[in-house]
Amino acid sequence: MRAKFFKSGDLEGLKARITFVRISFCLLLALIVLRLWELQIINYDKYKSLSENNRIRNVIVNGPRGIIYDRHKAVIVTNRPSFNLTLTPEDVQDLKFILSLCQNRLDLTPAEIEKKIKFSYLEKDIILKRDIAHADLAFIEEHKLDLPGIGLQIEPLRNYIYGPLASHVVGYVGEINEKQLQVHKNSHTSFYRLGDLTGQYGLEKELEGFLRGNKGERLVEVDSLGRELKLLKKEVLRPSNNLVLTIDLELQRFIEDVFKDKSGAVVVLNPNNGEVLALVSHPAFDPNLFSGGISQQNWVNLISNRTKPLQNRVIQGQYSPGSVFKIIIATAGLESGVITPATRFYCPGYFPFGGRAFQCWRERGHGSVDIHKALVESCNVFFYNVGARLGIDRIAKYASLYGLGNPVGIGLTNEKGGIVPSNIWKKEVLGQKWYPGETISVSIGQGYISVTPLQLATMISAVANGGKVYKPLLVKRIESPDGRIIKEFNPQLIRTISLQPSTLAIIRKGLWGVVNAPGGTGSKAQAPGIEAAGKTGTAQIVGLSKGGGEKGPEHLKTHAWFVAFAPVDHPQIAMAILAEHSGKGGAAAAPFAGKVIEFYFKPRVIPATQVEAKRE
Amino acid sequence: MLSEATVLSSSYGHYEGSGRSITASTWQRPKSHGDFLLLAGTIGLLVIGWIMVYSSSAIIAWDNYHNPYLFLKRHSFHLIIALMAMALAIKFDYLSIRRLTYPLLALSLLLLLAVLVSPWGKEAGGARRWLALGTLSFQPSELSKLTLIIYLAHSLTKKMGRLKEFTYGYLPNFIIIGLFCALILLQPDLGTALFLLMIGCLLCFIAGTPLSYLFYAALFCLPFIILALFKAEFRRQRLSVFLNPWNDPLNNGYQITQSFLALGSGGLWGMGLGQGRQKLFYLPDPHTDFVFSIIGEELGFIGVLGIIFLLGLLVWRGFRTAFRLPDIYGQLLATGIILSIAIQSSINLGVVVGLLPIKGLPFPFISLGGTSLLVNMVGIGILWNMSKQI
Repeated sequence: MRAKFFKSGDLEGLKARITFVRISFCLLLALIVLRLWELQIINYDKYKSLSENNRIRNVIVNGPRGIIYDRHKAVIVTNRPSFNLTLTPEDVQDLKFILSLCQNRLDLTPAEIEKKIKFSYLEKDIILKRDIAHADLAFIEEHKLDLPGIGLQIEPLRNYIYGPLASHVVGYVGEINEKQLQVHKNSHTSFYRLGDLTGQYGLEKELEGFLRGNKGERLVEVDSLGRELKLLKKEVLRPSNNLVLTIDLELQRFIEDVFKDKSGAVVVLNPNNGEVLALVSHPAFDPNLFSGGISQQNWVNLISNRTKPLQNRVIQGQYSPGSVFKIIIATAGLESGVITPATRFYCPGYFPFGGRAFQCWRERGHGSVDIHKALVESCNVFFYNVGARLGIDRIAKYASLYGLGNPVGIGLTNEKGGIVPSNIWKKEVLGQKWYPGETISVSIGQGYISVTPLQLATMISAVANGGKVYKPLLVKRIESPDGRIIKEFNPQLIRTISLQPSTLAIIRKGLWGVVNAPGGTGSKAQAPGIEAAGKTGTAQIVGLSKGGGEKGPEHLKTHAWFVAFAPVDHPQIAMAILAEHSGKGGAAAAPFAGKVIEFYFKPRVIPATQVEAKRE
Repeated sequence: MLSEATVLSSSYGHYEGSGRSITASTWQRPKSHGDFLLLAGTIGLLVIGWIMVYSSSAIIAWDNYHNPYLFLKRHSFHLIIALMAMALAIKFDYLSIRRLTYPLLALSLLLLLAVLVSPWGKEAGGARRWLALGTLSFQPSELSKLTLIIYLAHSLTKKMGRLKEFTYGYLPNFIIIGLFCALILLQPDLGTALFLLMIGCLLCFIAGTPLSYLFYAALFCLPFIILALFKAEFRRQRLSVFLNPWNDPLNNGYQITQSFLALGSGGLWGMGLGQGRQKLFYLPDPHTDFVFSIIGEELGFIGVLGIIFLLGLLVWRGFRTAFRLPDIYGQLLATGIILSIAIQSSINLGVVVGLLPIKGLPFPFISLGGTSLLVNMVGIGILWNMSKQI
């Protein structure tokens, strides 16, 4: 038989060779069994005691998240070291003592801790409390030897340097929830573990994939009480990627400062590329509250607050545009030939239509009005006339072209689209026929129409730049830690509205007049040295008769709007301002526009560090 | 039943076709129910694997996802798919597999290329080994194990009698083996590449390729293996760790020494199912490549012997089928399939007990790993079909 094994090409040998392989395999198995005998039977005691003294721990270390900069590379969000108090149940000797200590010093109830231990599955370290105070830290360090099982863990936490500043843009981080973990469960490299921090709101959430910290491992040897004896191995953590926003930190700070008593929204864009220079939604919240896991008390305070600080009013607040909408009626009227620059209507202070009198805001009327005067003085009757002649569908067409009725696409979750009513919209949504009288209300931005402040800022940008509707940008670029550009966000043109040059010229002249001409409703937006253009708006919550007037209760008062761009000739900024329940646009919103424009065009000193960063 | 020699001599000189095509007209194949012991071995391993995947992964799954059943669920899902694939393979006459040789070869090479260059190729842990479509992922290198066996069984049968001719009988087969190895080495996956080389050489040896030729092949591969070893620092370290694991138990020797601790502390009877300590974050990969260590810890020497017995039974019965098949193609195919299972399991066992350097090969039917399970079960299905025809 043996001779046949290696005789090549021999058919008789085929079976012999299969047998040879078969026997070899059995011998191999026998060898493995022998080795197992040696490991499991002969050396049992040795390995048993080694296993019991296995005091090497593999600890996963979370690296810091990426830094968030403003457009001039001034730091807005960074990280700070924090200490977490941990408990290793396996090493605990006197649980009662630890429980009472935690209750006395750290406000942790024994029930809470016992629940955590129960859910922790054997000997994994439990985080008892994130980000403990300095006094507690000192106390623990001092008494470490008397507290077997209690440990400290350093973790980088998010530090929002200016607190609530731009909180609706940058957002906040929080512990990953089980639903989010499920999303990652199928991937081969399971990045997240329970208890990890992840972006939960704003850009922290939207760009989590770029911002999240890297992970590393630390191999440590511990003594029989679970205390770290020595560090055996440590991975050097690579920093994460950084964000450079389009936000202008100083402008943002200035606006938040002057706007601090108001509730509402301010958004400032560069009309030439859609970059967001400032985005303010008030009241705001302090994202630092979330960094180390938000306390139940703080969370309840935030969500039960009637002023809704967690709502981003710039993209989620949907309001009647009021007279700001007259810009769109004017565009539609001139473009469709319903009116010419010479068309005049007589304003007696009211407009009779369908057996009802629609009021102008000035009771005694504006007399004979053309388009320019109608914009400057915001005459309702003129626009009632234009709207009635246009019909709702032509109004809807131009509103949609300007970007109303759909989310503009700023790239934050839950952006709202507002409503642009039309015949079809009413049939589909309300199942009813459109009544011509409803068109009259829409003509001055009341009725079914609703918009977000961001949509109006995009609209006024298009008026300023000659009809180009840009997608608003919050992020300029994403950089690697060594400054290499990983992703750059270029301006995105959504559409160019084809308008006759004369239409835009007439509207811009009218808007200039709103701020600068005698009798203009927005004269309070004037800024020294810079010629601005704008439009006031006043959004009614309820009719005057129901208490919506100046003297009515606070929550029924009108919202004040102002949209503006400056300088008139070569616009560099465009903005929408909404002051909730503040009265009239000209009185309550326009002054902010003046201040913003004055601040933006005032020569500013850029701190040296930022100049450095710019040069790179 | 016709004696083996008659079948062989009647087909001598007509190696182009399969043995059966010549004898089919004159010889009626006896019907059999198939080899139940082969199936028993497989099912036994699957059941133990199913339990142990849960026992070894529950804590990790809880720690990472707060769901102890996560890996068990995934494994069960793979198991159902694999059982369905096996049922399909049982219905499929093994001789018609031969017609699929070239399409399968093309498909496997294409998929291996796709892993490397297409956007569906997915990287994990520094190697591109998976093709991902949505939540499903697939490891083409596992499929190529079966493909290579099917190809070699076909080609060696065709060339039987002319295997001594260097350019006709030897070179083409080794070019194909080399192609597979090269593509897998690029992922990089040295373990699977060496495995393919090993099974390729063994099949050629069994078919009758002169040993001197195999020696040339080894000589040719040697520089590549050395290059692969010395290009990557970690492979060299693995080799030195293998030679003396207790020199560096904290860094490179960590996994293997933890595996010793797991096995050793199991003793004769084990610590009891679910009672193992090493899976508690000490031993890395307790539910994939090192599941056998956890079995040793929890079920002891007795449990481990049980697994080895089931494996031995499976392989022994597989060889028996190979032995009794009337045609050369069938014999080579069956030998290839059973060898693939035998070699994978012995490499895994060898690594876990420290007789071989660390290499990530899963334990067939037990370790978590969908594609591996699927391909091995299809192999068992083919063997079962063969065992019904002897």
